[in-house]
Amino acid sequence: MIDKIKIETTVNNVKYSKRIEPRLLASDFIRENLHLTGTHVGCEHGVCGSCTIKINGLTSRSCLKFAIQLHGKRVETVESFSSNPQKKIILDTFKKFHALQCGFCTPGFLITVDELLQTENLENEKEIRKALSGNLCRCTGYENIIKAVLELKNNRKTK
Amino acid sequence: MKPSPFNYVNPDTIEKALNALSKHNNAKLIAGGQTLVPMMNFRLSQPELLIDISNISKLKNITEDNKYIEIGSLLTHSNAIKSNCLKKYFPIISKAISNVAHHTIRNEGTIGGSIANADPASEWPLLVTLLESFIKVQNKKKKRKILYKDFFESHFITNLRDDEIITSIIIPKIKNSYGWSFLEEAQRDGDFAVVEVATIIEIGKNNLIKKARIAIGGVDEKVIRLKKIENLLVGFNLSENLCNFTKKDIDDQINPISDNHSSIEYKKHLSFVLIKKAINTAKEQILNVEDDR
Repeated sequence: MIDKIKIETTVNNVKYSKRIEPRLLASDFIRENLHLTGTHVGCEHGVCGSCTIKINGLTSRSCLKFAIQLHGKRVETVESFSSNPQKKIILDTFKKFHALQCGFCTPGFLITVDELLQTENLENEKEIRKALSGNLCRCTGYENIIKAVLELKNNRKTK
Repeated sequence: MKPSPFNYVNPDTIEKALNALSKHNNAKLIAGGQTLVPMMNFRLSQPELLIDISNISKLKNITEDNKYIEIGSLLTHSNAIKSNCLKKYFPIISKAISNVAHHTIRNEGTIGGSIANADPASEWPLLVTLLESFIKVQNKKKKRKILYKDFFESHFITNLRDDEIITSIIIPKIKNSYGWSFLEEAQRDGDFAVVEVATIIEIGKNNLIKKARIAIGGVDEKVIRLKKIENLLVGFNLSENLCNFTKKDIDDQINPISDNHSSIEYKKHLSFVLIKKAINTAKEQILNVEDDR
């Protein structure tokens, strides 16, 4: 029998204190214990990118993290997007270009794009495709996602 | 797709981590976890104790002296790409490591984890082999400094013992001016390499080649150096044709196996093509730098 351990973590600026088993994946913790179901669980082995979150400002796959590793960390999930003006622009641009079909992969794409806009050059379509290669869209809605990211990048440059 | 139960500790020093490791015979170290956690989710790996070393800040630094660069084993791929020190002495690192998986995985995965995993088609083992590096490891009793060729033994098998932790990778600086290249063929961006090749061509006076290094991954049980081709290049002038070898010369030195995606013959062909291209890329790089002067 493995004892539960208490962790304290901040998710979308809200502090949580929970007792959890060490083997609980961060993705399951966020969905089942915190009821933040925007983070989606796809492949559970780090391939599809649907469960991407930010930990201390850097994107991370929550299916490859244990909840216990979130102790003392600052976590952001897709639920943080609507209340943050910078991130809201990404949401609106995805909406404008209809950069989703079923929407399952969208939370992962949004979080990843938020980081890529800050860290990568994304000079052209080819670079955007390469940068987004870690997120899978099974509706193959890539074309509109690429268009949205191109516009986001161009708008940031002109500012 | 859920891991089996385990206990968890989170030591903040190497000593505490080694202590935990020495006490338990089914313990596993976790750094970035980008290979281990999928294995645990599939239950291919079922450690009873997980020792999370990702908070040992001492293992995250890059230091240098006149002769060596020392990289802490917990340096993430993303931070390796960003490092000005690594860019200055070994721009090949940034180029090659940009091919490791995807952006988000590179934020978590570490050099130490990649080397301990010893995938023969992976980028860090290729670089460590090309750059003739040492791997520093330690257990509770002693430290060892292991040369790359003694460290990697076979597919996913290294010289690292169960009670040891990799603490750093030591890369000797290169005194001569040199050209380099890194080429990788994968099915898609971020996928595992089918074949990867890296070269360094060091030159002396009048553009004569003093030393050549060619490392290739994905075609044998570990990353290998093509010594025969390397020796062939020494003494040549850069302006000469450097690819005076045949496909058979390459075939004789590699030992690929077939998989779902590529046959032995395809991998041999790919190796030959990439090696020629890699040598010429390194050569052009030196010649172009001279043109700019």
